[in-house]
Formats: sequence, C-alpha cells, structure tokens
Amino acid sequence: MSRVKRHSAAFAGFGQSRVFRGPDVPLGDLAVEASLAAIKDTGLDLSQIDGVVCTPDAPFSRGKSADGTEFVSTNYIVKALGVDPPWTADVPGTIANSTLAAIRAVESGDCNYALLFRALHNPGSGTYGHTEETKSGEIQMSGMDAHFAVEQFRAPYGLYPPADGAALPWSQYQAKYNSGSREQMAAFVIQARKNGLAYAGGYWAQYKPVELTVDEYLKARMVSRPVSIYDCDLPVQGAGAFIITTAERAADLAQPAAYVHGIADGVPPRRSVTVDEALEEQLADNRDIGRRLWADTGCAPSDMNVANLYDGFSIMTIIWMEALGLCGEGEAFNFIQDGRIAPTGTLPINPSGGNLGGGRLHGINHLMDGMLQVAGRSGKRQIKDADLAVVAVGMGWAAGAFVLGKDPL
Amino acid sequence: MTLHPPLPVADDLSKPFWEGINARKLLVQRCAECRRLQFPPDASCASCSSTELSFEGVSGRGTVYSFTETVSGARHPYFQSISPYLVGFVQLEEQDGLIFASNFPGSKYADLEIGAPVELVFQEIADGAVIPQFRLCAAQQNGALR
Repeated sequence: MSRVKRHSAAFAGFGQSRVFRGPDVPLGDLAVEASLAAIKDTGLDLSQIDGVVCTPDAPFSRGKSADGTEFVSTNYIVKALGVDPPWTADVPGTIANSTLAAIRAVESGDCNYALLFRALHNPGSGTYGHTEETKSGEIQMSGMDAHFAVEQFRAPYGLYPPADGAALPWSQYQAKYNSGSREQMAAFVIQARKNGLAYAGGYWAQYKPVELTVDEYLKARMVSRPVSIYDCDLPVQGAGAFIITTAERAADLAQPAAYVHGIADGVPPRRSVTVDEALEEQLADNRDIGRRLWADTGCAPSDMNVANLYDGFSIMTIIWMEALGLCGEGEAFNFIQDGRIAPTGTLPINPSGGNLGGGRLHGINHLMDGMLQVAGRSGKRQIKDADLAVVAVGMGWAAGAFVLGKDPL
Repeated sequence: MTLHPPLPVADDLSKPFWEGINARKLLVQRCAECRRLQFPPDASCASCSSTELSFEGVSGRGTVYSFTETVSGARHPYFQSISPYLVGFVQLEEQDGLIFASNFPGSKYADLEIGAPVELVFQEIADGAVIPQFRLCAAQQNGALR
C-alpha cells in the first residue's frame, strides 16, 4: 500500500520514572527522573534539547495545585534541568495532545530535539476527581472544570464522571449489539494484567506481580454496573518522557528510532448534549480520528502488527478497536477472545499492559510500547515482525492517534 | 441539615429552563432557522449556529437511553448515603439527541432496559429545589412487558 511521504519526525528516546501508588516522591522529581532517562536513552547532551513540551493537566487537584506537587509544567522542567529551549509549550488534554505538538514542532523546524514529558499525580486515596458543593449548593468538579456549565443538569442526579462515563456507553453497547458481557470483557482485562507483569516499569509488576483470574474479575467489587474495580485503571504517581526529533537526526542517535507514519488529532465536537457518555458520540469522535489517521498514513488498519489503545476504562479499548476499524462494528468483544490480542495473537493489544496492566500513566505506556515495538527494542515483550504500530491515546477531543513504523518514510 | 443532592444553579442561559421546571413545565430551545430542538440551553444552535432560539414545552415522554447502577463510585455524601442508586439518560420522543439525566424513580436495576418508555415526573430534592425525573411507564414498572 502506498504511503504518503509527509512526516519526518521520529521517536528517538524514552525514559520512565519510578512509579508509586501515592505521593511518596515529589512529582517534580519524578518528571526530572523520566526526562533525564529519555535524554540519556538518545545519547544527547542536555544542552542539545531545544524544545520542551508537556500536558500539565492534573487529574487530581483536591483544591490544591502546586507546580511540582500536583502537576508538572514545562517551565518547571526547563528550570529544573537548567535548559533554555527556544520552543516550549504546555498543551491541555492528554499526552496525545502534547505529542502531536512535539511532532509538528520538529517537522516545522521549531526545534531539533523536543523533550516531551507527562507527570501524573496521585494523592494516595485513589479517588479520581471529586465534587464539591460551595456557597449555596454550587456544584464544582475539581479537575473537571470544563464540565462546569453542564453540571447543573448532571450533578443533581449523582452522575459523575468518570466511572459512569464508562458504564453508560457499555450499557448501550450491550443493548445495541447483544454482546459485551463481563464474561467476555474478562479476556481483555486479564490479558492486560498479564502483559503488564512483563513490563518492569509497571505498577503491578513492581508491587503485586500476580495475574488476575476470571473468577476474581467476575466477583470484583462493582463501581457502576457493569464497570467493576478491575475495569478501572489504578491511579499511580509517576512520569514518562520521550525525545522527538527528525528521522534524519534520529539516525545519529544511540538507539533505533520509531518513525512517525501518520497522526490525527481529536477535535472538540460541536453538539448540544447533556452527556459525554454516549456510545454513538464516543464512536463517532474516535472514528473521525481514525478516518484522518488512515488518510494521513496511507496504510490500512489491517497493516497494523500491534495496537496500543487507550484503556483508562476497559470499554475504551473496545470503542477504539471498532472506531479505528481494527475489527468490525459490534465485533470487538468476540475479537478479544481466544488469544487474538495476546502478544502471540493476530493483533496484539497493549503488549506492555496499558493503563489497566501498568497503572494510570495516561497513555505513556501506550506510546512507549508502540515506539519500542517498531524500533525492535521491546526485549522479552517484543512482538515478531512489528513493523507498524497504531497508538491511540485519550478519548474524544483530548485524544490523538499515531501510526509508528520501523522504517523512515 | 439533612443531606440532599447537589442543587442545580441556574445561569443566564438556563434560567428560563429552571423557571419552567418550577412551574412544572419541561422547556427546551427551538431554533427558528433550522427548527431543531436542543438541550441543554446554549447561546446558539448546535446544528446551524443560529442565535434565534426560543424556549418551548415538550411532552416529557421518551425512552431509556442508557443506565447504570452506581454501587460504590459516588463522590457526593448524599449519593454515598443512598448507594446503590440508578442513574442514566433518557431521550425524548420529540427528537434524537434530546437527552436528560434521570434516576428512574421507583425502578430497580433489573427493571431497566434501553428503549423502554419513560414519562416525566418532578422531584423536589430540597426545599424549593425541583428537578425533572423520568420513570418507567406503568406497564414496565409492573414487569408486564418483561
């Protein structure tokens, strides 16, 4: 299949910090740790870093928001590393959004070597955002301020993201396709944990290296039916970093690179709804990303050797599989059975565990795995002949998708 | 003070809607240009961007759009105190995409089915604070269709 020779960026280095369940080590220190590891991975000198970008958004704020504690900004890292890059940016959303910015910055010549990082705070108790009532019953979702205006139509009903946001589209999926039982979902969640145990940087691998059984999954504490505790990723504190450069420059660096073959951004939809948690809308938003991704690469879903699909909740991966055309509509729950998504299967999904198997590093694991697979650097997790990888991070507007290849375009 | 759900706070756009609720009417916006209905209220039409919008009453009849039972995920003290509880959305019969949150009062999780008919009721969640709710139509509640 012919490819559009357009992209010239490459992922040339990766680094990850230690991962903790809570704020054992200040988040700023972990971001520095990851950044220095990524730079070291390339063999570059610190002084060669001429671009720094991140997505600073904190999933937790608890009313506090200190740079270096609850979140880490680009400026924090610039100062901590003592660099003076001509290009810097804080990009809202998820790491997908800042990754897209980094790719464009090196392709446009704004910088030669972009340090891209993401740091995730967890206050320790594991609650993802919370609702506060202020003044006379005013509703405020901390960490979810963008939803404020619509909360007057949601919060009085006890409808809070994010678990309901996974449960509701899942309930629609079950009704629409007569598929999607928890018995079926078990195949994905159990494989994710198993994969995560093979990645030393994952939370479960480090602290609780045991596989999940079908029985444990089916008997798990329910959060919002049919979402159980094991369908939700585990909040952790940690950071990851990447070095993005041009394919030409990557050739001179220490490790084999992963070459950018295609990219697509999530775009905020213009619609008037009470609900983000609608299956049709989530599918439509992600399909639109997929349509533009495949047009940008010139490859087809069937060309992919490995997929890293966002899994903050298990149903999100199902939605990405179908939205990107990796399987047919209504077929994802059948597709994930019988080892098809295992590292030895027809389409390995999240071979390093993703969020569910590694902890909530918000897409760092997905980009890392896609990058290292096509670069042939995955060690014991290496997928055979992984020439092309698709990576999708986030959902809706706070999302992006990437095709990474073994060869430069 | 007794626990109650978070109270809705009207803004400039939603004031007519909440005044309607207090008068026991369900009002949504209609676009004068493309004639589409929309909810929540917005400054312009989500379909054609016209700003010629006016409120009008709708039937309150619809169907279950999606639902869950929140068992252990509640954030707010009131909802923690009543967990597990039902929550989800209904779509009104007037138009696709006209969607309201609901707790399906009077129903159990096993009673709910996507597409099941619902009707509007008004619920006072605190002194003087009323929200629209949607409950399964009587036949479903009694299990007659199941």
